[in-house]
Amino acid sequence: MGLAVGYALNGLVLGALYVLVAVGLTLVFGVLRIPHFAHGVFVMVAAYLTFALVVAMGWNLLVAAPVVIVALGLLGLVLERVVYRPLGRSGELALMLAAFAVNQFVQGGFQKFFGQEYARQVSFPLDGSVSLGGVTLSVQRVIALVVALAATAVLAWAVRHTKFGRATRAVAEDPDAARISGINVDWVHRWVFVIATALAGLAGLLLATFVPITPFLGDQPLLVAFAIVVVGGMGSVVGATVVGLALGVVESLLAGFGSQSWSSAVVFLIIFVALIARPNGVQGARV
Amino acid sequence: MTETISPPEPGTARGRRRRRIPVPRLPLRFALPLAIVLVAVAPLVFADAYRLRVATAAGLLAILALAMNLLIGGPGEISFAHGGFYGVGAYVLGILTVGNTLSFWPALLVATAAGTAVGVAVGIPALRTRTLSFAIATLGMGLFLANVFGGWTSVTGGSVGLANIPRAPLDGIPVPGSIFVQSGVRQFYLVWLVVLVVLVLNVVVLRGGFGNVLKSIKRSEVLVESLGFRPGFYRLATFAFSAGLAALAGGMYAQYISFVGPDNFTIFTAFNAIVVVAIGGLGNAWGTVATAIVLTVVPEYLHALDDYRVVVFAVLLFVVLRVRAALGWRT
Amino acid sequence: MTRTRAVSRALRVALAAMVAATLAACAQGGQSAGADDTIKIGALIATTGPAGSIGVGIENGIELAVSDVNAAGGVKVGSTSYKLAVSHYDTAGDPATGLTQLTRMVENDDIHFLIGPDTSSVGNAILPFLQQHQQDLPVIVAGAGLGPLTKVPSVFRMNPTIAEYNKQNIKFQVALGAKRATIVTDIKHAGEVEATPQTVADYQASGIDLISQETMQTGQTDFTSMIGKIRAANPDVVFLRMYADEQLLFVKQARQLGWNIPITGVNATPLDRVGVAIPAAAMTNVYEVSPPTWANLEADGSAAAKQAVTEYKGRFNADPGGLTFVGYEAVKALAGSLTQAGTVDPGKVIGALQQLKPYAGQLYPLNAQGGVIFGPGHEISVDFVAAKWENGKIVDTESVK
Repeated sequence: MGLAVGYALNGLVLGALYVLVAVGLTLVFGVLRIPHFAHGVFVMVAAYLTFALVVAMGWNLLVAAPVVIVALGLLGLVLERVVYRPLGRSGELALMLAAFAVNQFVQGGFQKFFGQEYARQVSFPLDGSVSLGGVTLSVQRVIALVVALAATAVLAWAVRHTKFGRATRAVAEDPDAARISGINVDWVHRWVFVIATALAGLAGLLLATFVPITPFLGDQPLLVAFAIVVVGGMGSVVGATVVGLALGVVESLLAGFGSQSWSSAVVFLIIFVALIARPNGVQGARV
Repeated sequence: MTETISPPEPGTARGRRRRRIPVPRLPLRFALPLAIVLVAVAPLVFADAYRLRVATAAGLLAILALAMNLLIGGPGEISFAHGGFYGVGAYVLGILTVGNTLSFWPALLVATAAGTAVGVAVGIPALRTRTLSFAIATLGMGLFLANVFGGWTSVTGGSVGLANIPRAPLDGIPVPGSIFVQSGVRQFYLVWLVVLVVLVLNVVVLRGGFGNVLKSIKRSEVLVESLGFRPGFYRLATFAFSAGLAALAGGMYAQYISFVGPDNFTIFTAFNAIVVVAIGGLGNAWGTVATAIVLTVVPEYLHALDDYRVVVFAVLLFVVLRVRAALGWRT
Repeated sequence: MTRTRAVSRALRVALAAMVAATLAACAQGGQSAGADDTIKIGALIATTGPAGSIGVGIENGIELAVSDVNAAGGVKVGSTSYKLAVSHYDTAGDPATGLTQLTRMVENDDIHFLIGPDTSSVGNAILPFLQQHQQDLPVIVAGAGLGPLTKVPSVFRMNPTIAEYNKQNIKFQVALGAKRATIVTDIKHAGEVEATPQTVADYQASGIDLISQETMQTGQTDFTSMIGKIRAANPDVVFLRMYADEQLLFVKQARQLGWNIPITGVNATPLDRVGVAIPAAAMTNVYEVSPPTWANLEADGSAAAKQAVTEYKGRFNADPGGLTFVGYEAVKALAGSLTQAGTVDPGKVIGALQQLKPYAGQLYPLNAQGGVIFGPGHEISVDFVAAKWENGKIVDTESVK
């Protein structure tokens, strides 16, 4: 029993990191209607940036955090203007392919310049672990869980209760109607994209302390995040959070009691079944 | 000739319309003989083993892309499971011929049938969803199948794969091009023969009465239903046929490379096919084949760029998308 | 409207130019032939794709060896000195690409000395081609562990097989006094999967009880649950059969959970990764059993190894990779076989490789097997070393006997 609780708790951490990637993706998906296959490379870029600041330049992780998040937001700002806006009217598939091109460009570039070396990693400043009723969890994991959930909660609140959030929901619902009622749709698009990439920045920052930093770091989280987004309901922050945490726990339990190498296969099968049972996602509504 | 899908412009409130430059078209009765002649004389032009290999690889990509084209041009759905169906064909052919259970031709038939069957099994539940949900449902299935290829070691060989798959028994068939190049010509002709057959199937299915029903389904399923057609059947039939063609492509690949391993049947395999169809013009079979050729040949000439190849290729893809957007072609 | 049309016309011109450029490139002929006093070598290595980080290390080793040979006056064949020129053929780890690139190398670029491949899947795809060319294409495999490759008479392997790595590792575990072992296998690592039956048999012969076998996949980042499961089974050694990144991650996560079990691995973690990829304190009670690295040789006082490491760092701004020595030594062995053959005829060089005696510029401590470098199975033999880590430092390196 203690073992199961341990696996489940660990799964929550895993799930929280998935959620952090997924919430940014769900916004871009739900509001801008871009199947953003490049979201993972932003996570990767953020991880490299974190490494550069913390390990190469010796900054404190807490000081580096806002810099990484803002830098990624700015990157999003540039990308939205240069790549996605010019393609705005040529359809979702064109946007998806453009995202794929961005993915290849950034990943290819990073592999050329940093790929030949061993994977980097950022060590977490706080060591140690906490014990809760026979279950050991490292301090790092507890903090990651709290940070990820806090960021998601703030986002969910902002979408529901701020003026910008209301405008965002209106644009997601019907861009033309939003435009007629005086909402600056381009402006909403731009800032949603910036927020999404900033969230990818936070995800990359946290992941950098967990996993080896390679040009492919964002691939696996992105695929899982895509599934979470659609199962959770496109554009739904709450849906993505619930589904993401659940998937993390399931994967962790499967790895603990079954076979690690089959756990992801089973997760993907669950995604397939869940989508078919609820074609519009568990949350049903968008944003 | 082939229809390019051009849904009605979205709300005019989104901004000024752009003048659309029409997609060039050529009727099948001229294009097909031309294509046959081109395929026939190609080995005389590419009179060396390397170019023949590149041309054969282009043909293999073209078959898979044509399978995807049927799905995108027909019901208008995108499938990430096609890498998996491609793999089903490759593995079934490999398992049957390596163990000498069947000879090549019946094994290819069984491989195609197996792909179709898996397509039906996946399609019945998956087609309850539409557009992006469908894409992600098939993404889940594609990832699952890739995991099966890599994990079911006793059947697929796992990451070790299946080696020594016999090639199609083509030796002894007289071929004019072999005057110039000994090896590889027969494989080239075999692969491109399949390309032409699948291409004609594409055109026929998408243009004929069946295709018209598919097109109408995209506009209004209710309307089609009220006319006495069953939209679900049409969608499933197209999906299963498309999956079968992907498996056929996989079988051709397996015998050509003589080896199958799990890395070649992932969602990225499906993504490549989607890229080809999207650039080729969504439902435009000829454009799909032309794009498959260009996308196989261009990277070969980027070898001088060494490891920058991936980056340059990404820029080229974006330029193509930008050009299409400027021409007002919807993707 | 006029502006849009002008733009679209410009873009159409650009598109037409691209198509024309493609066609022009297609029409262009093959490569120009090299100078007469140059021997051309082809390197068939994956430098992009997921295997790229290992491949680049191998390829850099090849580059380094080629410039070393040339700087020393080239390869002496009979009375002529030849320079070496290496062309790179990137497989991206993809079987079809590998086959196409090998064809380009041999048929178009007229290169008849092959170093590579480094991945098993490419090895499988090019096997029929290598069989066809067993009279005229000498091959030194650099990295791929695939068993059947060296069955081809013209193919020799510069790296130990995976089964050999594991066998040496088990030998070391016996020396460590282990009684109950758990192995964790990367099921995406074809070489490991292929070697598993042999490794299980080696365990049976060793007297160690193999109590459980776990599997994972390259790229996996969370081992916490698996570690919990292994811990519950209570082995006294865990043997990790996976790549370096995952190995470090496993060790780190096990130590984070406060589990200090002895862990053995097959990689040689460079010192400068510790404190970066893993906290120094976590790198305790870890044993890495592998062929000696250049750093090990340098520590043992090898001037040649020291020079190679310095040159590598200066030239590529990175530490040598785990398999850099394989690429490097393959070039040196090929140069040696050319000299010993006394001819540049590829067919004769195959014979010379079979009979290859210790050669000039040999950096690596390969055991001559009956006087020759490549034994009857076309494999090399080298004494493995076990490095013992304590607090992020290698406190002991001993050879495995």
